[in-house]
Amino acid sequence: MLRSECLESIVDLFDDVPCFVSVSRTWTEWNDLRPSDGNFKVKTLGSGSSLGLGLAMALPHRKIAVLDGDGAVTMNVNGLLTIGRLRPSNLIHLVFDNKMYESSGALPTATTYNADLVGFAAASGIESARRVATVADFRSAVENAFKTDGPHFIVADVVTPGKATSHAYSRMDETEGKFLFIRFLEAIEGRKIYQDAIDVKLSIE
Amino acid sequence: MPSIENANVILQSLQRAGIEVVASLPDAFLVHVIEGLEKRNEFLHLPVTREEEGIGICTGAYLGGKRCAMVMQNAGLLNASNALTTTALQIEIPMLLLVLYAGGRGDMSFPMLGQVTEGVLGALQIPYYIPETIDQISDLVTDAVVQTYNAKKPVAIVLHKSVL
Repeated sequence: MLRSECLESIVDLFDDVPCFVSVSRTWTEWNDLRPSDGNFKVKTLGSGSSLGLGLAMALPHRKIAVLDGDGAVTMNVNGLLTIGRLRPSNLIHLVFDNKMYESSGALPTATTYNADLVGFAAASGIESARRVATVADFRSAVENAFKTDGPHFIVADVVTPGKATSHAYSRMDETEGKFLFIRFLEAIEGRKIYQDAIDVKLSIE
Repeated sequence: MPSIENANVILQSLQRAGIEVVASLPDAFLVHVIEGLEKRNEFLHLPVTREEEGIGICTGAYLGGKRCAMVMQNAGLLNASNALTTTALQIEIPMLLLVLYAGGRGDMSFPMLGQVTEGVLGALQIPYYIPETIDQISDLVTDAVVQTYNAKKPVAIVLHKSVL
């Protein structure tokens, strides 16, 4: 199956869901399908799981999603160990495993060889870790992740159509994207979240 | 050896400055600080397994409105340098870095690490302060937390073993 088919199949579940999305084609495909200030572009490869964990702990009543790739997860497997230790019930980590660094020249990742991300996540203490190979199963797994306590770790086996590309220019200014993301959170939370230096100074006696 | 008394001064300083979320990775000289973070209900303590995670976690929690700090050794500062650069500095995320200065003045461990630490902070253009005594900590933490929001970038306090 294609990643784009997977993304299309779940987009209706993501009305108000903050998403940390790995750069490159996952970002462009998702942002085209679901243009939203609630999409945060993850530039530090692999840090999606850590960003998601941080926000999940800050907003424990709300489901937080991470849209990730196998190259990113293998860059920061430490993130899975920490999620397995802290077990945030509201974190949904989706990994599109195409077994390559798609945007860095399509070279193979460790999952091309012997690495099993689901096994690693489960061994780290993430009990709800599973692999899916069809779009229907993927949709069903994500639906379940929204309905039940996690953390959930869902690996979708996908193939990349045609030649992998590395351009994926995006005109979004990332600092502006940060502010838009915070304003998105303020809107869905219905309260002030952003603190400036004056707020901080006045709060400290 | 590190004292519980000095660790308590640091914990009270963090609390006074409104720090709510703290990611950490141990150093033997930070043990009382980290035990205190775990015990005190005022803090949401998130122990990580590699420091670069902590920068992501602090960023995520900051986006959700939390005031954040990362406690680590200076080896961890080097581990965290990419996330500090491509996330925290790039998109202007405030966070306090409390960094144990291994190989610093009077410490014979990790001499090379000690020699590069301030150079790395300088290259990253992260403002940093090095208290000489524990009495300076409280004001320094307060000022650093205000500065991290005002400058919109991480600010570090580098701790010699002698102040712990």
